Amino acid sequence: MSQAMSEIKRGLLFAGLMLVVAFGAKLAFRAGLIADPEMSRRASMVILGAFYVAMGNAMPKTLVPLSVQQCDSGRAQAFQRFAGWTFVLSGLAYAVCWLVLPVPLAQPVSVAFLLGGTALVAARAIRLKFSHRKSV
Amino acid sequence: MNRVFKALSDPTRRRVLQLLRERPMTAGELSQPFAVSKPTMSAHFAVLQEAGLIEAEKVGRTIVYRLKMSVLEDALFGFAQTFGWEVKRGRGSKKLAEKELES
Repeated sequence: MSQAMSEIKRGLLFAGLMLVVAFGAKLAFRAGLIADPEMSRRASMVILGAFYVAMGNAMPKTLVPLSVQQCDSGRAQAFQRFAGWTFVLSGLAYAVCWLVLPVPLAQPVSVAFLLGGTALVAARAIRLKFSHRKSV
Repeated sequence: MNRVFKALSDPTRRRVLQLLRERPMTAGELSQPFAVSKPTMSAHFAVLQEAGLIEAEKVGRTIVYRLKMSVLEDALFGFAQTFGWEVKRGRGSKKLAEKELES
């Protein structure tokens, strides 16, 4: 229960941060403090990347009791570590894209990183499930 | 974070983490490669648990230890492994380490 609550709190915190930063950047642009009109969007996307990093970082710490695990515990652990690292790296890449690339290029490249990472994790999850079926 | 650094500064504890990277193991399996007493090994496990790097789970009559490292902690561990982090100690370092484990 406390785990679910902390996840909800983290999600709300990042969502709030995204709104506040985007709104703040918009106001700063109108006030003439920021020259880049896309700063608000960039800031939101960097926070979204940071959310992926935070989510991936916490992933290997979320443990399912061994008694309820449906596959080999060593493989499950390896999968969790892989998923965590993949989300952290793709989240970092996503954030860096929005920090350094021009907006028309940042959009497809950052999404490619995120989708690529998610596809890798999904493929590994399917492989884990499939190899479990074979070993049963 | 201090606890994590303390836990990672000892080569025995790092070896335990290295072994647990392969799969969850029982206390007996983890103690096998080390020429240290059971209480010393238990103290090492306690330090790792306190730092939140491993978790103990009772399965039947045995206790199974498994990794509970975040990606950041995993990266720190890799860094410590590569560069051989160790707490610098002078004379009587062994006794000091034992005292540290006892406390």
